[in-house]
Amino acid sequence: MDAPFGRVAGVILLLVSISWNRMGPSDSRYRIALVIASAGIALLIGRDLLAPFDLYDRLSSDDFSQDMGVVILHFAIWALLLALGSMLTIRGSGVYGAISPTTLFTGWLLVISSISVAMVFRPGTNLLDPMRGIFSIWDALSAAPIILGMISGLIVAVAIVAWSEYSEPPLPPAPGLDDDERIYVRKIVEDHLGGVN
Amino acid sequence: MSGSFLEEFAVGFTISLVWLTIHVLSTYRRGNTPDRLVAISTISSVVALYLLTSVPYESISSSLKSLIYFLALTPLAAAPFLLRITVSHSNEFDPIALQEADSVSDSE
Repeated sequence: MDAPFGRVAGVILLLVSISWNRMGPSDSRYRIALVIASAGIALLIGRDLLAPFDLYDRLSSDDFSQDMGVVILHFAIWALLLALGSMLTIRGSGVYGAISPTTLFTGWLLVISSISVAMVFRPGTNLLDPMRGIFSIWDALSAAPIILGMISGLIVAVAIVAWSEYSEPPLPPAPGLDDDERIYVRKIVEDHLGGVN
Repeated sequence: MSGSFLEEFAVGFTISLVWLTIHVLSTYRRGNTPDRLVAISTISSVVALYLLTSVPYESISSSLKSLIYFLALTPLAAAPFLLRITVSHSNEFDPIALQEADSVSDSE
């Protein structure tokens, strides 16, 4: 057992940060989501990154599949490359304004690097041999039971949410705005409409 | 060591329920989050985790590694979507295009 508690805490912090990030800027928790995510990443891969001397040996080891740290580190590398590459590709495309060829090129370079790291340069004795380390369909199929379990869990989660929301008694009607609130709301609306009455 | 189908299935099932509980608890808002949701999701996660204690550690570790290997397909799956965005000529978020669309709708 290779000290899973730090990694479990890291995963929990990452999940919390995703939830807090989805709450939007109106909630104070949104502002610390990035800090929580950084702490989660540090707990998840920090121990392996801080001991770089034997990292190459571990990455190119015969029994790398027994080393959860190496597996997570490999995942973190391609996930980071994919996240940065996707961000740059979207920013560089014409969706949000003018096309930026440099940003687009850099983004695609990172995305292709991510695909290469994820599917070709994989941990094990064939780490730097693209012809032998390639991803096989059996790797994907071996995860079928856990994927089916996750889908079943998701269906149960949706059922729990639906049941709990439908079984709650309806809330009483919200009270109307008082005079101060009415003036405040009117001012915001007028400001956003550019002073049009 | 690879676990049985049922053991790996249980790991995946527990992951989904625990994820739901973490989301519900971390985004809790008094008066907005149904108390029944908090209670049911917490209880179901605790039960799932309790049942998982009977699964050998090696099976859980092996299942998680299988899941991480499976996720290696993500960059390949994301590439067509990014390619579509790259070749798209949509400018629906461009401020100038938005202003032009506004002025057209005003004139109508």
